[in-house]
Amino acid sequence: MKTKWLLIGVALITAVLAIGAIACGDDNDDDNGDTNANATQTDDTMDDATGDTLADVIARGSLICGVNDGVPGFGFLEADGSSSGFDTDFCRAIAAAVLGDSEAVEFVILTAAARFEALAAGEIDVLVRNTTWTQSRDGDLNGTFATITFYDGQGMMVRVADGITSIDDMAGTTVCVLQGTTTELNLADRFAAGGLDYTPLTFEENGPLEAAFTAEACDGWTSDKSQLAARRSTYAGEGGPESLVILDETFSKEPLGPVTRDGDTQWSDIVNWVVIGMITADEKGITSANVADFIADPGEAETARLLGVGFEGGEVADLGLGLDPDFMQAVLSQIGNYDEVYQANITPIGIPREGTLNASWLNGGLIYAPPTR
Amino acid sequence: MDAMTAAKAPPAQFSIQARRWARDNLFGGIGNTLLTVVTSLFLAFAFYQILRFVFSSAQWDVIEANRRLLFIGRFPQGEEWRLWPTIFLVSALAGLTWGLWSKVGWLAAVLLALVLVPVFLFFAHGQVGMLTALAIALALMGYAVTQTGLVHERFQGPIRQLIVVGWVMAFPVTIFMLLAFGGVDPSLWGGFYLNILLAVVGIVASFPLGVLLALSRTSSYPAFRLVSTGYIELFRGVPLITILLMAWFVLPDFLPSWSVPVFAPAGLDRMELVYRVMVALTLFSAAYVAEIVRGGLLAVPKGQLEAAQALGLSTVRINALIVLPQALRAVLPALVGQFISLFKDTSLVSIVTLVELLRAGRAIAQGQIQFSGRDPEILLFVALLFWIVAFSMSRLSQRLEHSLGIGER
Amino acid sequence: MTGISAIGPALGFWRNVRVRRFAIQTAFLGLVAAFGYYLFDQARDLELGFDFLDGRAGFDISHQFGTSYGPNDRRLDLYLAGIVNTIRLAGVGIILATLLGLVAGVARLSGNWLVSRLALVYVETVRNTPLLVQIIFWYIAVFLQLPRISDSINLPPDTISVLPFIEIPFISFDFAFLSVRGLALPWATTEDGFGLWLILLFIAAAAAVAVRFWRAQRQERTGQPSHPTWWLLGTFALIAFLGFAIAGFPLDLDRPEVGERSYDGGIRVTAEFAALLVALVTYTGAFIAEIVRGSLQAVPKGQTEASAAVGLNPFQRLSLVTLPQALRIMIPPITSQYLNLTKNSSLAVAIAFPELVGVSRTIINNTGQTIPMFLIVMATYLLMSLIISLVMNTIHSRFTLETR
Repeated sequence: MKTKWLLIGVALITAVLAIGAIACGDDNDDDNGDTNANATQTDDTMDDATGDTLADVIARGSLICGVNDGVPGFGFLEADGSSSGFDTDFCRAIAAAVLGDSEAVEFVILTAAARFEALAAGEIDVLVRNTTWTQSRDGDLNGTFATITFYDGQGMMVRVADGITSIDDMAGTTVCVLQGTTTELNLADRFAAGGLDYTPLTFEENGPLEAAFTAEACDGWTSDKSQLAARRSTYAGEGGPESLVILDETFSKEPLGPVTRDGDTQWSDIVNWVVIGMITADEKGITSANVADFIADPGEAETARLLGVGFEGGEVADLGLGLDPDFMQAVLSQIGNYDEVYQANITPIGIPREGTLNASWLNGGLIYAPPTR
Repeated sequence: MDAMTAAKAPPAQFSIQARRWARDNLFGGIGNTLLTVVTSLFLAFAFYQILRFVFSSAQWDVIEANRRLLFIGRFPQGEEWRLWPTIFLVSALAGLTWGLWSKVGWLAAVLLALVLVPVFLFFAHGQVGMLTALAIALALMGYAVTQTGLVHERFQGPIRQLIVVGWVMAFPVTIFMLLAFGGVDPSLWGGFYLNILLAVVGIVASFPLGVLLALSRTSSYPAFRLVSTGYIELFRGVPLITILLMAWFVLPDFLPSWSVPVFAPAGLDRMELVYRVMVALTLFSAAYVAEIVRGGLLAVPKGQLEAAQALGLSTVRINALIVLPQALRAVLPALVGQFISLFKDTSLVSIVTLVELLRAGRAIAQGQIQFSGRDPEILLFVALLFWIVAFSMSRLSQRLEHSLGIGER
Repeated sequence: MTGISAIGPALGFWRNVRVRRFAIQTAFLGLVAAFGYYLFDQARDLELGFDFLDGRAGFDISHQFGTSYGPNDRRLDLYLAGIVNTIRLAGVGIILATLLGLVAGVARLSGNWLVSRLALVYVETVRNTPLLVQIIFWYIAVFLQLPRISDSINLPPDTISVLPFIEIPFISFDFAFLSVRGLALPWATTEDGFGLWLILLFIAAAAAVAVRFWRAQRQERTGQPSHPTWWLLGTFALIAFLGFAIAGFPLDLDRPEVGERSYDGGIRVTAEFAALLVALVTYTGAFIAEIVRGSLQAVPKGQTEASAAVGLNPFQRLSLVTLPQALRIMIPPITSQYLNLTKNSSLAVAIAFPELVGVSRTIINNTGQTIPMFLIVMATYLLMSLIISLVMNTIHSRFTLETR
């Protein structure tokens, strides 16, 4: 018995020393004050993960895309085991652009708390999982965000019967929130700003959270407004959707978009321009149904550049992404433009596009594509 | 040893005997009667609640619509043929094993039938139903063949050997079927099939590792003792979930970048998450196996060791031929218990987002908006599937224990 | 080295047992060290540090026990609150699981057919399904089915319905409330004189022990049953009560009241904590029940028969004869169940109870510091396991000494 404890003691001390040693090593790096060098060093050690994602994807023959499995409309599992949703369609679009086949995607399911770890570890090529663009995610978590695909905002859903009309009525309440999200942090900030005390019930997954809210274990449910709207539309609790109200206040901006790892600008550009291309196609009215017509006759120079075809006998312009210039042809014919993806996934969960921030800038929204030139 | 076989079941016809049984077992004295009444009330309440839920308030269409997702997860359409050969092989082997090594107790048989038949009728139709029926038929045939005296005494020995070989082969066959001829990417393995696969891999791999650890912990070499004690106490001291999370995020940072082309189709070259999880489960389970085996090693009489040494056997042969067989026999029940634990622990893999049974179930309730809030039905079904396998394993272990005469010598 | 020449020149030095032992162990340790160095080398390239623990947390956690850390406190503080929650859960869980396990284990061997069957069904159901499924099930299917706070159940109930249509008044004193927001119980608030009462309690304890010692000696000397335990309890209760009066009744009962969105006053056991506790206790209890059953069966039958012959009743037979002997066998396996319960509490993350793994994952998500945080989590669990093992080993060794 005695030896056993002696041995365990030795093992523990060794472990502590090892931890200490690792920590000290880090301190030394900090002493140099060269944090940039540190970051590059990290990138070097993970070069198989960060290096040339495009080449990896092509060599592998498939795109690995981090998605959600539990958000209706954005990313969820169908009964036949396939992934569906707004976000997963962007994964398919990227695969179509890079590999010419929108089905050449492996979907890796990620929790909110795990997504950036998976991205940093090189588990996935791109993360499209209703992820909010924030400074710390760009900085600390070494992500690079592409064009915003969906403008969301954090809101609060409460029961009509409770008579709450604004966040400031919510002193002393219990609020259900998902772990590892910006919503968790925004919630704390918002209630602190209002000088309100509250109790957060922090869940790892939406299932138990919804059950808790339905059972009235919490007074409010805070999340992105799009998700709240989706949940409200299928609310199965007493009184149905009419018994719930989403408060007007939007207490954070939640711009959602695809994320790639820092340090591979070529890959980030590709992801970015696939999204932009889909928005451009929406602006120009190019859909999966009529894309063949536009390929035959682009009608204008920018459309020709977008589709990678010659215009009026001119050369095909290669804009230097490292893909074939006609990569958008596969995207648009197999997936469609931004509006088609929106209508197929988001409209059915009860959020029409018109009149929201996600309408095209031509219709007073924020969805706006930089020029293809 | 086993309450189910030793059950003092009431005799069929109502007689003096029955009344005496009731008096002895239910109404002997005031205290006993009170106990019986209270227990009956509780049981009636529990039964009422369960039956009301199962037959009235629950809506089972959510399971029916998602059978595929629950059983095989994201396995690609059109590749299901890879799974059936394994299922047939295992069912046949299971039937034969039950038949040869033990008898099915009537209570267990009734229980299993009560659970399995409705489940089958509800959830398996069409082609899948036919194939499932075939698998069940194979299991029953295997059992029947050993029971009806068709097998001559003379062939019993060879058949037993054949079954053992079959079980040993089942695992390679499974992996071959999953990976050969184009293969299915491991990240798409899923559902209950994945739970079983992970458990089998964990059991097969953690057993030898655990035995090695146990031998080295009881070895006369202090260096071996030190290292294996450190390993065992480390892995037994932390929750499995932390090890799984480490395997998920931290392990990739420590892996050398292999590029062996042979492994590429299986996804081994980039150590897909499934493989890392297998490593995690194996390392974790090995520590527990080691402690169990160590208990067995300590129980082997010292005289055995001394006698073997006197015969001049090498250390390896002493362990392999004399010590281990005795030690393992003694701890077989505990080992099976650990393996059942491992099987149940495969549900934790849901936390690292592999789409095994529990994760598939929870994804349904969250993501498929038409089935929002059906968690109780799904959880009950998930629990039932785990229960069927775990309960069969524990029964089989008890029979095995009985037929090997453990605890009776 | 002289040994080699004694054996003879025909054998090489590698046949020397001591040389071989040394060589093998050195080689083995070398391998392990090389592996360790490899890991260390890889880890050195990653950005590791513990400074992030001092950073502002930015998030809030519920279920804090005795603390009220918030977004403006350090991450470390919130992590410590998580540790407190783990300890709280494990501590209460261990006690209750032991009790349940004892009861169920004894019930398994009960002469009452129905009771032993019930215990069997309980054990076989709970042991053969995954704990994570059970935790979620208890929470969603049981505790979330309780009424909302405005419809709180009064405890004890004001009326009791004998049959669905007959209700008789029961007790109109509302002691506690039960709803989906948890169980609200009265709690004591201290007033002036509480310190004095604490001192008097110490005196009461000392006096009680002395009285017990005296009664025990008397029993030894005279052979007459002198009920030392009853005397111990009686003395303690008497002095404690007198002291309470002397100190001027320094405790006040703080009864809970049903507010609009929370209970005011008293203390609250939340539905999340309760669901976890029930799941952990029933699960671990089933394993302990099997250990208890096995240990009781291992006690020679002669012991029971002899004690029956001396005229002890079944309860005395169990508590005075069989159980103490079975305890010696059951302590080591029960210890490992305690360890399992502690580790299993990490599954709390599924249902919004912020124990240490839950808090650490939020921290990881906010900072990206995976490896250092995991090292801390694992070290925390190792430390807790170590403490539990030490305590149980001490109990075991003392117990073994006493009985032999």
